[in-house]
Amino acid sequence: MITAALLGNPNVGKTTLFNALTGANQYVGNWAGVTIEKKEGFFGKNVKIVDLPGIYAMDTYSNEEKISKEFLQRDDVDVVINIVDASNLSRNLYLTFQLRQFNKPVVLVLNMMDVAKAKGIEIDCDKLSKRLGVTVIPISATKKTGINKLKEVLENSNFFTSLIDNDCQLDNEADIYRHIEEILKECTRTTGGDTITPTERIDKLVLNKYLAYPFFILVMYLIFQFTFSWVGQPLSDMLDMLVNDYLVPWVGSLLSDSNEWFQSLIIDGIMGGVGSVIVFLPVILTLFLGISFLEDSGYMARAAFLMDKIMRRMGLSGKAFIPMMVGFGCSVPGIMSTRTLESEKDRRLTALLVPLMSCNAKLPVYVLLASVFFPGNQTLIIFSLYLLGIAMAFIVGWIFDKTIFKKDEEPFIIELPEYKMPEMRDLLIHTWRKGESFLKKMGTVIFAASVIIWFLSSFNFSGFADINDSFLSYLGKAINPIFIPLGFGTWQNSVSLLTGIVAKEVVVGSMGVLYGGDLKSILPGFFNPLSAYAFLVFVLLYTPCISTVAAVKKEYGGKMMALSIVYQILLAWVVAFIVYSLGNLILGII
Amino acid sequence: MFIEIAIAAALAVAAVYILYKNIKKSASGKCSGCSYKSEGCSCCAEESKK
Repeated sequence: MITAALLGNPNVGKTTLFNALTGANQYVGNWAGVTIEKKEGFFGKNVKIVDLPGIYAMDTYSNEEKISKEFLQRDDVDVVINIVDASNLSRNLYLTFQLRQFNKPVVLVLNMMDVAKAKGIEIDCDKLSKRLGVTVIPISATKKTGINKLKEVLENSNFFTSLIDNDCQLDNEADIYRHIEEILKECTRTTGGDTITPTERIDKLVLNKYLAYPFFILVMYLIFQFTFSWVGQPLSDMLDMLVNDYLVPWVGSLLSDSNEWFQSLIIDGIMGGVGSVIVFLPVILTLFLGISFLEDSGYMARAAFLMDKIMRRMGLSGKAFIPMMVGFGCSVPGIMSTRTLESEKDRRLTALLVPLMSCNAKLPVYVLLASVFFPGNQTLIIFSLYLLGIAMAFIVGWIFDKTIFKKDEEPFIIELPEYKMPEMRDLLIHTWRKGESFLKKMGTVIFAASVIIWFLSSFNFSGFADINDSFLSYLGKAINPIFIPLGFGTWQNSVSLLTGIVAKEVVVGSMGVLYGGDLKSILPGFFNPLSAYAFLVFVLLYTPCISTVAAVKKEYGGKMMALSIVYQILLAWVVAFIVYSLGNLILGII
Repeated sequence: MFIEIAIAAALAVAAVYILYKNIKKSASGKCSGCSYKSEGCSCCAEESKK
């Protein structure tokens, strides 16, 4: 069995190659920092591939570099597959030279040969192979060319076993770069490719001093419009109609001979709970189709670059925006990916801010209330919540930077990848994973919570009881006074928010059970547009779900977890109170 | 009536069990349904290996 370590600079296509070699479906993103832990896969019976996080060099000390360095020092690594961007060899080969210290054979994989060709770069692979003393294989991982050749080489151990260019004494960075330039002069030739690449042309517009931020807001707004007005919401409405107008009456007719309480358990409890959340599946799929498109096209890396200036003022590095963007999907991996930040201060501070992002679990709550209370303006309302989350992260980041966390600046270096038209297959895989996890939650947490909430809202110490005299109503009424100043102080809302700590989707599931029936027609009796918006703000900012809290504890300890819980409850209450009070004041004046 | 009570009891037991398992999993820092299988979530990385 051969163990091959797959290593290279960030965003050169390591995971795409890993997937192509092993048949895996690991997440691939067109931005740096997607892989932060090593992953293993196999092809054939004899080759194990280990995908390592992308790094630029071996001489700094970020977590990714430590993981990669420690792994390469192990005896059981037989060969290093060093994947490089063929269109940017001068920078990529620096890491190749640093691999000499591990005394392992290296297979140099020149990826993105198609991009290099478009730039007019011709590479003499044989000469490069001889000059470096390694096996060189040109490929295009996305177009899947050259992969078979690489497989052959690995399966037959048909690679150089000598060390790369070991005769050459290179003591410092400048010497290495000088040496690389000499080699490239001999082995590459630039012909009449485009002097200005399409990426550079697009960046002139997208990163323009005056247009960059309006363009960013416009792009995000279009994604939201696509989700909440054009495609996602109409599909969601259709699914809602299917569930409430057809499925529920049909199940009701099947159970017509059953006891009333049993009908209530199935229809109000399970179907009310799960059904009220599952109708948002199309919205979640559509939103993440849009976001995956931005990620894969290369625009998300630009967004992080744009945010650097603002985030630096708030005491954070622009790199911290990447965990926050991951947090738009789910806070748990967002918190995990704070490991990619070099400074301890940035890691801790970012872990506290990631839960302020609108994760996809909050989306069903947003869509439900926005469609009931702001028909025609859902996009604007939900967009405002996403922006509010980012704005609050900046403000809280600034406050924590000035109070709790010590100043610890680090430079932000991000590689802006080439723009590319995303592969439909990758887009669908990313989008489906969102849908898959959402459906998994429906069948587990939401289902279980709905059943338990039904029982607790149908019984009290005397047995079967009216919902307003049930166990849950006692609990809800006990905590209700906290929410009265925020405008949504009903016991049902209080209980729904409390259950949302298990998972945020449960808020809607609980409402479905506790209010009973079609929420769109019932909720206007318990909210007005202003209190509904204050409720949404509270859901955006209050204590994260158990998984997120546990992830913070696991990564940063109990004190950070306690801080995360307490500050978010306080923040949510204060901001929702301000929204509700200011709104009342303004509406009173008008 | 008996069948209805039995089904309701089974649902209640299943619900408590599922919720208990999920909370236990979550409380150990593992996500219950995140889809970023390779973006650093150790539980998902472990699951994808299986």
